[in-house]
Amino acid sequence: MSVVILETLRRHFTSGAYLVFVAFLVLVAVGSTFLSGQPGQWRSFVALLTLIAGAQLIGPEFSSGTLQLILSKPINRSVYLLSRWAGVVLAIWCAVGLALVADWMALVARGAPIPWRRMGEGAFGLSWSAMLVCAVLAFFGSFLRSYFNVGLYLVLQAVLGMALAAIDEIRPDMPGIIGASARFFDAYPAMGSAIAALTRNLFPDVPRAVAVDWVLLIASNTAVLLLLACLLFRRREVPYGAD
Amino acid sequence: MTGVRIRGLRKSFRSLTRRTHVLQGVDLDVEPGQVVGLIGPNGAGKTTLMSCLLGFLHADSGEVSIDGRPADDIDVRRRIGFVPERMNFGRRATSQAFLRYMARLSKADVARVEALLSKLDVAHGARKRLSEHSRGMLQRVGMAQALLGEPDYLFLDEPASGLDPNGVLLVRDLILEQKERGRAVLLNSHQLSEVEKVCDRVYFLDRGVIGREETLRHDTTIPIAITLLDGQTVELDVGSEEEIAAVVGRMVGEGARIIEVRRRTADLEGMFRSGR
Repeated sequence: MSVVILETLRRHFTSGAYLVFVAFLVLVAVGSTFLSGQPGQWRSFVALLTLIAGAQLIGPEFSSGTLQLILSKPINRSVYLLSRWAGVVLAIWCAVGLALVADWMALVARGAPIPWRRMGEGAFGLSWSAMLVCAVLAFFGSFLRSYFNVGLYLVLQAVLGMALAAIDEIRPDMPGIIGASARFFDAYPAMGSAIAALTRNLFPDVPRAVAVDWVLLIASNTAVLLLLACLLFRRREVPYGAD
Repeated sequence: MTGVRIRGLRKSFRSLTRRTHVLQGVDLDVEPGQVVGLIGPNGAGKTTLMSCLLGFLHADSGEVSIDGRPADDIDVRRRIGFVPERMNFGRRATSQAFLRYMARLSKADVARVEALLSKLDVAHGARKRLSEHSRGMLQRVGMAQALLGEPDYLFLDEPASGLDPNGVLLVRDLILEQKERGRAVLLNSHQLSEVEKVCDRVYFLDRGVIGREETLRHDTTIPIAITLLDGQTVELDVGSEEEIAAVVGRMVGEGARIIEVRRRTADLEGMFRSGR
């Protein structure tokens, strides 16, 4: 397992794109924190890094033929998938760690007090939620090719978000299909609850102050998604070439 | 080692509109110490067959076993080496780093990496990135990764593709070396001359079925063809080279006018042309 984790980390640490992104993250952290005195301005970029790094979990390896070469070796498929996930998550944690150190250095240089708790909770929340995002991407990657996992992730997030907003806004007396949809959701309230639950479980917001409930939610959902990903990936066919 | 055994292998692929039957009841054996060739036109199902053998694809029906165990068994994988037609891996890795990673995955001795790099004549490019390698160099690195775990079973998909003549000779020697060590080799190749040179037996796969199985090398007999002046050809199997001399001497003594004596080999080109 450690072999694959180390290789995944090596690939990230020697990737120009990753290094440029981390350098950008550090620059944003140093610059914005030094100028504003407010640490953690870089957090939204970590979400982007998580998507980019998580997108490469399995799909691209499948499409390029690398996966087939690796699966010809004596390695359990589930172990490989979990190791890839762990490697990607560790690479993201390294980026978060560096940005956190940059924040601290900027605050020291500015002579400002260091809000240890707020900074720590913010970084922990981001790092912890990266586990779930990567688990969702690993799950989608376990049955999709190439970068379709991140495509499905974004589409699903957008569709669920729009559906939730729409359910709140639409009324039964509205004309046409909109009114019909409102009447449907009124008649079957469980549908609306299901969409809300799916959104809450797959795409939870990162709270400013970390709560135990949220930590457990992320951990349990990550575990369930990784289990499902392993089950699918074990049975997945991986043809290595066209006849 | 009991070898590779495939019986009644069927595999089809389903799309939204139709089902394509790629393999339709294939029987194939590769015994230890044998090099078996798999030839056939594009679309015959060779790569699908290889994929089923490596556990990448699940057979619809039939039996695929290596040493009496399922092809996707972890212990079986420890004993197989696979060279894909195109070596794809993260192109940023050097060939040395790539092979070390493969050695660790194969639970093989990492020290073998340097030895194999030298043996396959790619030691000079060990610190070069894979993206900087030529196709031939990549094939050699691909061959090296397959041999890392000293496998009992070697599955080669067009191993000489993209190689220069020296590379082709090197691969040929490596295959024959594996055979001498009692390993079973399955070679999927379009290079019929190479197949003729290294294989003991050849399966001709066409449209998902084994159209013909031909033995190229016999353990106990030498197949020969004697051509006479009148154009007649006499084909027979003899037990030794001394027996060839004896047979020829006897025929000459009986008045036969011999113009050529040659070893009989399977006409692989003819198999291809006739589509059988």
